[in-house]
Amino acid sequence: MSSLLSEKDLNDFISPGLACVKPAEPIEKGEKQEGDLEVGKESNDMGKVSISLQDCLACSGCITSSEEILLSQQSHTVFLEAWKNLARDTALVVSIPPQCRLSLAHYYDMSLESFDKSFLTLMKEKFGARYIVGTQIGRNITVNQTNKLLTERKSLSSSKKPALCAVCPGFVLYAEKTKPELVPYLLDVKSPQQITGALLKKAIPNIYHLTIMPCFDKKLEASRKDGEGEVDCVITPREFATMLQEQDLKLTDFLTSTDETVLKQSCSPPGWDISVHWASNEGSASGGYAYQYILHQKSLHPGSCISTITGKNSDLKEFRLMDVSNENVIASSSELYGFRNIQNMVRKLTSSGSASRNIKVLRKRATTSSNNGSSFGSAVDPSKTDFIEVMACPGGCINGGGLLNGEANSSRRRALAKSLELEYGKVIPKVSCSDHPRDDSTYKYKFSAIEKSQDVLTVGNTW
Amino acid sequence: MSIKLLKSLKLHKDKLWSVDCSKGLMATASSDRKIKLVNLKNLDFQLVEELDDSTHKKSVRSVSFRPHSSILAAGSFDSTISIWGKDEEASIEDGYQETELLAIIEGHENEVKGVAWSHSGYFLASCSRDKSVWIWEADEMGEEYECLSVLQEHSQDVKHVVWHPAMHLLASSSYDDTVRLWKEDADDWECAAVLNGHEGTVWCSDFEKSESSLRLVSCSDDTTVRVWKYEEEDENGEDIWTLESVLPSVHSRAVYAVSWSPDGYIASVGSDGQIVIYTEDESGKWKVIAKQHEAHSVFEINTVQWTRVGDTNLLITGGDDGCANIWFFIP
Ligand code: SF4
Ligand code: SF4
Repeated sequence: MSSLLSEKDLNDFISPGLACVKPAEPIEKGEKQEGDLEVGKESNDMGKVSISLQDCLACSGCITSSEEILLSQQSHTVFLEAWKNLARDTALVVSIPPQCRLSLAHYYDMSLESFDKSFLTLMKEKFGARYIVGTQIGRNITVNQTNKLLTERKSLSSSKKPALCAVCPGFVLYAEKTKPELVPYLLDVKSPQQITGALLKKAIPNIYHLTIMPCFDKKLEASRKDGEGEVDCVITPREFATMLQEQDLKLTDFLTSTDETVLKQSCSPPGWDISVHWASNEGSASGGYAYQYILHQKSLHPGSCISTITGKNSDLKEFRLMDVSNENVIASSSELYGFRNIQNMVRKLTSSGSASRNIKVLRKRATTSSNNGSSFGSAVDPSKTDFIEVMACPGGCINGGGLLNGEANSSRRRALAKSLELEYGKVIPKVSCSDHPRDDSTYKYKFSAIEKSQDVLTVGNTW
Repeated sequence: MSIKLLKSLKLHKDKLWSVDCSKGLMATASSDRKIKLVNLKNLDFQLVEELDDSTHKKSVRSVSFRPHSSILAAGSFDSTISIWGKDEEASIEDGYQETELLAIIEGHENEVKGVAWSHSGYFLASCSRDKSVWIWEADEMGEEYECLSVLQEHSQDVKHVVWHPAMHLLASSSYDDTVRLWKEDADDWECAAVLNGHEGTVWCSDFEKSESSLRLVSCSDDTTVRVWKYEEEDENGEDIWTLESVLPSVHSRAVYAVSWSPDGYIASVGSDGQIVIYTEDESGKWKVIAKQHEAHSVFEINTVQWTRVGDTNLLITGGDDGCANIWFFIP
């Protein structure tokens, strides 16, 4: 592994398991064998045990798979290998979301325009990519379908509230693997990564779809059974940079004087409008799903206004759509990022533990009564909103573990993420999600809680 | 100078892992899943209460009293933390008032190894085999907890957490052979320093109880006890800590616990069954002033704590024999 990609950087969310603890199944001999398979170490009499990311998706051994497995199935070396062996009639198609473009542009010390131009030229000339696209068309569909579903759910009293955004695989995996109670809350609309893949495959037969994504968990998302064939390989900007280094390629050498529009046009599949798929939308740098929902509700409710409330830390924010005439809350949504906030949300939604044990409430708390009337206080409480944009990374996708935000300490890293976030708001043109495109297919995940194998928890020392 | 056994209390049927004392009360945690409370006032040493042992499904590994209150936190291998307390405002009709379960905190993925309340009582820190350190904010009643931070920089099992006696500075010891120090930043908690040097698991650490200097003692599987000193903040805003001294080598096996007394003595205990007490001759130079062999007969000693009852200084140790031993130390 190169110096750019070291073990300690593989920390999207919860660091990958050091060793795979999936009970090894003897594949050839059929003799009964118990024990842990340590990835990366030679397993002597265990025979060849191969574990795929799909195995990981169905295993509760660790939340983010062991890094060896992540990298053995989806990495730049896997991509290069596949690329070399691409059949003649298979076209390479590359997609890249705005967060990764910003991170790479910052890393190579280029303007976004120069980066885009160099990236397109490089992918085209060096790798023979047929098409290179942004992810906004996919994201528009994610946003529109999310809004549609949320509006339907709003009128149903039976649906679990709040609905949780399932675009972040870090969070989805966490829910599926460790918090089965949360699975019913997940909104099953697919992420822009998957929808972009589905659209590309629909439009062009025989493609190999490479996508560049801000975190390692996106590799796992691409391996989901319910998204088979949509994405062939996911690499992170960090791996992209490593790949160029290993191939002795300098991105700046590919900076051309060709007009950006012309270049993007020449890399777009027929019918893909470059002013859309290379764009972004209003809202957070993680996709803006929470804000887009409120915008959508606002369009349905003339005479309403949006109020934004910031939470206890910078990773909590709430949007409320208020009826101007009577101050009633018509709709609400929130942004909730990072593990600490996810934990508090989990605790609120599942009221874990307390029911089964004898917890004595010593004093009737004054606050409980105030909850009975209007459920909206002045403080941010995501669990009371219609919809939560949950992101596993503190700071959201603009701070993803696969980005090149390699700063010495977490506060500096956050500062860099903040500055990239500002840039995201400034330099990437915004489109309105509802304008494009008209697509009536549905793109849905099938979620399922993964059964916990009890013994996994107790392996190892227990001092 | 000598250590004298005042009382040996056979409290548990299995290993005694941890003790904590507050307001004349001692709490103990054990593999038998029980938490016991013993009265220390007037050197009475009577068992006053046994907390509901159906609460935890596995060993209770660590206990910590919230300062200036009767609230107790207990961390267990069943991955949960239980919070106990009494209604101090309720009228006491017939003498002793029972301690009740106030909350169960879930969040860690697996075994909780340590819990500790900050001096202010605002924060509860916990650490686990899941390699993380969590900081919780508690309400005044000790009933509601909000997670403020999940710190995942340790690369292995985190064995122990301890707060500074007067600052919001936390130290965590780990199987990754390091101690990490944590402090509050504008928006989150953050690692302020990493103490590298031990050549084995760091089991425990404790801060110096001093207003003028900032030091930490740590002990390890490598049989050493080390004192670290805060120097200054570097230009990146990170704290610089240096190894000030390695204490005289006495222990022959892993050292499991250390405690720094308010009057400057350090006590260490470990797998070799010894209690060792050190004093500082001149700045940074330590010598051994007392030793006790077979302090829990042939058993390993897991924990040590200095405490003060009235105007008597006591040293409390807990071992694999399930006993809490209470010692007089006469300097
Ligand atoms: S998720 Fe299961 S199969 Fe995958 S690395 Fe972890 S333990 Fe192994
Ligand atoms: S927040 Fe974004 S970058 Fe982070 S794990 Fe989730 S999808 Fe990946």
